[in-house]
Amino acid sequence: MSATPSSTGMAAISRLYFRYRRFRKQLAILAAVIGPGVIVMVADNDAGGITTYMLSGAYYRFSFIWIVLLLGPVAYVCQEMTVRLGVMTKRGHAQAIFEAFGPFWGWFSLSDLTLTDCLTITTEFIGMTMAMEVFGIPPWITEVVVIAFIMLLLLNGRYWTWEKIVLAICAVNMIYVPVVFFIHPDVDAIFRTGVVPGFPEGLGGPVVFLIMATIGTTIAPWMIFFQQSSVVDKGLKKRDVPYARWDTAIGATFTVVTAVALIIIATVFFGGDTNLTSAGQAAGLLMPLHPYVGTILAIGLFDAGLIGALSVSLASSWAVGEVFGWSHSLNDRLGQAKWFNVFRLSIMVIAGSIVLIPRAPLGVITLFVQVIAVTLLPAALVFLIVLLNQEELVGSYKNTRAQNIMAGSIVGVILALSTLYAVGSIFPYLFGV
Amino acid sequence: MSWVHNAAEKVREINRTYAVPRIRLSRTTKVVLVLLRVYLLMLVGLLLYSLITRLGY
Repeated sequence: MSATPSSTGMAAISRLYFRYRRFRKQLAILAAVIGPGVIVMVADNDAGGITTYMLSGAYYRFSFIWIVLLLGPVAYVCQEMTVRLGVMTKRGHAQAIFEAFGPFWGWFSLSDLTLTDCLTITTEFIGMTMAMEVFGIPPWITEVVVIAFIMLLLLNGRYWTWEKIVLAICAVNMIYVPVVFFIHPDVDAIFRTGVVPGFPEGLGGPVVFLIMATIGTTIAPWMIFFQQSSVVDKGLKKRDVPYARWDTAIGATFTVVTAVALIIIATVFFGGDTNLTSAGQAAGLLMPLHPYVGTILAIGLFDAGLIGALSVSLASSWAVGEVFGWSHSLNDRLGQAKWFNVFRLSIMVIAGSIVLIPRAPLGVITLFVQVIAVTLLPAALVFLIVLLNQEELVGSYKNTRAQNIMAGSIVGVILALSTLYAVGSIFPYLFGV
Repeated sequence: MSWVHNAAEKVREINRTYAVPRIRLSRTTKVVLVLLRVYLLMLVGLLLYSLITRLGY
């Protein structure tokens, strides 16, 4: 019996309806899974990141845009590995290293992480206090309120609630994007000098330093620990991996878009100004001339510092909690996970105290912390790659040859840049500095 | 000082728990990893030196 035109049409409509239903279901699952990837990637654009992008725009105009565009996929490659490892091992990254490599390497990784996290949280407080100083709020008040807020977020004792609140805070990080449409940047120059790879002023020491700081703000050791622990705490399963990959990709896109917007804003208002030292200073300078842009810059900087402090403090607390066997889930109430919260509070108080040191060169410290983080990154990445090559650990989610080549190349490039900068700092005349 | 004693005991306990690594590294791999660590720490040292000289201390 041949199909009539009407029955063919009905079949097409039902196929379409089935696809629509399937798409809606997939979208609902994605909405449930979304979180760890977006949070870790947006936290990437933390206070140190905002300062790094502002300075790259001010010093080298649009010419860092292509680096940021390239770093989006790089961050995705690194973070996607943590998703597979977390889902398959059901272990946070610190515990996975202790189990796989033994205590010697475990303690090494944990101490690296704790040190760089403490330094990174310092840069978050630097950003937040600078942003609030624009509105006349003293640094100590900002610090006390922020620490209290971060600890109160855990009162509810539910991972899901915590995640939704943090995602709302992450949305504010996109505040810079609309500004670009109102300041009318030179689009032709963006494509000519920003998207096309090149170093208009040569590859000297300061350029290498800023490239490293940019890499350091896009991929950092704490991100590996954070996303893996977050995936485990959220309870993601093997079937969620494709959605968790989307979560990471969406986050990476947000990061890149925000970073490009910041470089454009910095170029438009400060292009060629090599005296700029921080995003906080930039916000203060803009307030009398362009109050709306200055206010947005300050709000965005505060928000970036808050997301950073929330995530980075959690990364090391999760890691230490896993290893020491403390209760360390966000599903635990404040009192249940006592030591986990005490540790988190302690690193925030220590980091916050550094910021209150009078006349501390906060802008320079911020950039150096990013560079130190990226210098220590290869060690963390090497362990991640080795773990992702163990079939008995991750089964079919083992790294493919292409994934190994990409991850290995990232390690190689970071090592080369770190060496280049180190050699440049000892023999500055080699780079004509 | 009992908390120091407790912390040291906890560290010893962690070392015992993870004493047998799941992944057996060859001697060459171990040497490469140690060298990488030392190299990275040396780079961090140079960065700190650079920071201190930049700040004029």
